[in-house]
Amino acid sequence: MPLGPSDVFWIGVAPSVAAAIAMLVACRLRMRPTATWSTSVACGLIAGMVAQNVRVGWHTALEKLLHPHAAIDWLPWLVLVAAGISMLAAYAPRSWQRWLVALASVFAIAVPLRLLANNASAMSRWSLGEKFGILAFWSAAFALWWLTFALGRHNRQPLVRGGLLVVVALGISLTVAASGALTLGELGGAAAAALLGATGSASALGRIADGPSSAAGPLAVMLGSLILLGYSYELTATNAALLAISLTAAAGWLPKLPLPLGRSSAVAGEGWGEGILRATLALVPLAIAVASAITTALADIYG
Amino acid sequence: MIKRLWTNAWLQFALAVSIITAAAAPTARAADVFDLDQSHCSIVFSVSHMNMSYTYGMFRQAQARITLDRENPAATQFQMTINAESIDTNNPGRDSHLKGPDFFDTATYPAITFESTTVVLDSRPQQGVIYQVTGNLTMHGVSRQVTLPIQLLGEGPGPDGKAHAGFLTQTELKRSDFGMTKFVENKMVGDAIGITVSFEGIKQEPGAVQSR
Repeated sequence: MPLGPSDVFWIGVAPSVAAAIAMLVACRLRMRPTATWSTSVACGLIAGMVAQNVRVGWHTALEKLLHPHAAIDWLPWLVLVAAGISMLAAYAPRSWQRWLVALASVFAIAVPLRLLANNASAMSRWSLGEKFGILAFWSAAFALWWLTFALGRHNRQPLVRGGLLVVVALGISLTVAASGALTLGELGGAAAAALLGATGSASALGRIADGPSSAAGPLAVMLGSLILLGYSYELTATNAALLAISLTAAAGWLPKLPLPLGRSSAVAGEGWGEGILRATLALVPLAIAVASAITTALADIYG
Repeated sequence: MIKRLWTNAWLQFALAVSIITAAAAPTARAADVFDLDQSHCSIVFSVSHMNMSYTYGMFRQAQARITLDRENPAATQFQMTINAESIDTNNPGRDSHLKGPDFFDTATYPAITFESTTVVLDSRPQQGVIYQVTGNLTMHGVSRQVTLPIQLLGEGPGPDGKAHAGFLTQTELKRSDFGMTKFVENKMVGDAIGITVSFEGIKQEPGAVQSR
């Protein structure tokens, strides 16, 4: 389905510009890196989610934001809380850190709980044991994403990670949309646009060294939620797993491996070998998932 | 003795007259309760596609109860619950899409319900018995008050020997009023939905009616 100029503006331009402006303002206020990136990415993501409904009307957008019904309506609030926790972590004293880790862990349970609680069909199908098991699985996934994204800063290469995240977000968008959930697919596009705006603005302002690891919370919540919700609808388990691997590899922490080190630069980080490995681990499963979903969609259309 | 016999006879006569009178007196008539005849229920909708054609679909599963009070039409009640997952537009791919988050989101909102609050009898000579039924229609998690003109098409014994009553209603709704806004802005899929519901109810025996 082709996107019109209105769709490109609201889902692409609006979140990108919102993220860029938020990055500029946060830098001017001399906020700490985690707070800067979290603010920028969260502003872009929330702007994209609201803009998606603004296409229908401001009243509809406001109604969905203030009176969330479906799981997807809760995403802006979940991203906002994740950003809040990240900002708290940026300014809290060291003695508070373990409490903040505990808070993030509790939130990692709250996110899938909030998203799955609205699924009346699944809730009536699953036994109590299944509910606990599924909640535990997704809670662990969200916690892992948050942790590994945050630790990814030790690998440096912020432009590589940022760029790969943009591509992965686009891939999630295509896969979920081709699986039959266009609404979720559009949010993936908005996420990619927000990341692009934040990364581009940070590059221009010389704040790229911190990279998307500083926005680990909002990114983990947003992109992880798209995979969870996609799987709740028509996304196959295989494609969901491939997207999860791709997402983790794109921005997560990679262990030190004896890879051939090429020319290194202040921006590239430690070496091209690590960048190539990361790109391979992120893009190969992504390509398989996207191709699989699109092929299935075309087969449905043409019989 | 004769006096006692005469008194007994009068007592017996009076008792007999009382019994006959009680049997002949009209009793207060309770409302008739009809449960949906599953095999005679059609819930059909139509929606514009790109302003080029209309796509028709139906819901295959529903439950309904009609409490028909002919002596006090205001006490008549209509209740219907439609299984949103039973949607059928003769295209499995489109049906999956309709059940997804872009439209009905049946995982979150598996049922469409209507519950009447006010019923007004609006009989017309050429159209017969029509009930103007105001009630709460809940769809996609949104409840709105709607007024449906429900026409009583006919009553009588069905092939099963039980009393049947048949109804028809037609209306038009905006899906955006119920939070289903996908493709409204670009008119890919129309906002106005034409709805036709026709169904029969099977009269329930008074003792067999159970609360729902």
